Amino acid sequence: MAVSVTIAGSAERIGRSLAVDIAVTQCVRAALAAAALALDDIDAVVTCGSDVLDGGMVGTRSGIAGAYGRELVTVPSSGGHAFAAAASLIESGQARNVLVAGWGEGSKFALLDGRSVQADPFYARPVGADAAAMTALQAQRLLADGALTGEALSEYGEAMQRRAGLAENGSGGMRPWLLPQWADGACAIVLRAGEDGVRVADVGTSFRGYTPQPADLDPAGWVAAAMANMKLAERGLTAIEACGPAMVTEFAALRTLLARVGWPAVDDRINASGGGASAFFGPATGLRHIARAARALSGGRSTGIAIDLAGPIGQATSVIALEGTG
Amino acid sequence: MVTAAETQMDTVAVSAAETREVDVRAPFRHSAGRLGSVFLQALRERRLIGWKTGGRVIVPPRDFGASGEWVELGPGARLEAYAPADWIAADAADSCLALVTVDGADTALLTRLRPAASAGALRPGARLALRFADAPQGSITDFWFEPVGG
Repeated sequence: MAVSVTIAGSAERIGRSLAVDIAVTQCVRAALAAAALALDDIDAVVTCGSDVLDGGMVGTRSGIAGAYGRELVTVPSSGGHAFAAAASLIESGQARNVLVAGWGEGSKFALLDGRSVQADPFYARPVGADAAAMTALQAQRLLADGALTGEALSEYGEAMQRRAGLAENGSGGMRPWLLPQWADGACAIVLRAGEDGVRVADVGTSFRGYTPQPADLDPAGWVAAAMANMKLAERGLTAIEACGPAMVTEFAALRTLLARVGWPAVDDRINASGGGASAFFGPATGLRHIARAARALSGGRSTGIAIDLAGPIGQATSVIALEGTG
Repeated sequence: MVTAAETQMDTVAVSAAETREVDVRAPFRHSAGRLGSVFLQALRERRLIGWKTGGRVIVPPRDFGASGEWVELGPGARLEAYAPADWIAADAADSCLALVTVDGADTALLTRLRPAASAGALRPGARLALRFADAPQGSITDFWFEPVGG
């Protein structure tokens, strides 16, 4: 990156019935306080959230994130892509201090999963291609091909649920590792130019359609595509955060990275808080895990990686490499 | 040095007068487009067709403005993947979501596989046969696939 970008502050709120707009403002204020900045110091705001989850237009609600009077970029569908956009604003010299704010009222999706509205209305929705069914279809193929084993998948799912403090159970007959842990949430991250803080070492992204073709069903392939041109400092790696709508998506996606570093999927350094099993509030959830990875590195000189799998089947993929600067 | 910090905030008490519940219903109108309309009309005639363009046969058709021609597809097909019904819901289902490559096509399409119970015995690559409803309506649900010999 031409200009060093660092994470200077972050804050999050998770709950089951949050007043999300208030939570966003609280997170913004807390992240700014952690960064020792005022809102007036912010040059640009990047917002992230799903309009379907929020019940409102993310762009027009951006005032709750302090966006009025500033440059605004709205990246609705992916926290990782929103973070990448924010880092690019600094890297390119357009801004020195950027606020990334994301939110989602996910709890309503526990009652009725509305993600299927993103599927094609003629060719996908009528045949029942909702997010859970699509994820199950992917998992079936990966298991049939031997890319995943049922034993390893169950082990990963149980480990994530334990770390998230959940009793192992499905819902309505759904396998636990297919089930998003819907919650309401908000997260704010302050990025700034300079070397003081946790540095953003590199960013990679990739994006697939809602209905991938047979040769492109594996989230590990999406992560590999995102990482294709990244420089990863694997030595000194101490934290990995992977966040997806379902545990099977996270588990599948981690394989590319784990193959490089040689860690087992249930290593304590991976998803210390349980990944998406701890809470999922839609596309902005990835910001929370980027922030968590950064906090794990704060004060030290080790490196970390955050993988965000946004979208109904995790198909908006981002890989964020972070580096503690001591 | 400024460190990233997580701040746990106390819940802000908000009175009922300060909150609003908003219930929005927004009907949307979708268009199948030039190619989609032909594709869906062919289903009424119990024909499954693909759009050959740029050397590939695409189904369902995607219109990017290039010229092409229609080709007949099927009746055989190859199973690529399916969503096991018992992974998703406890209720029994007579069919399950499947990703299928129809003979003659270069892309796979989402469809239904019947019966759902047969899917568990099938592996990727299994041969399937195209079946049409007695009274097609011009919808992607006018047809489904069944295992060959099933």
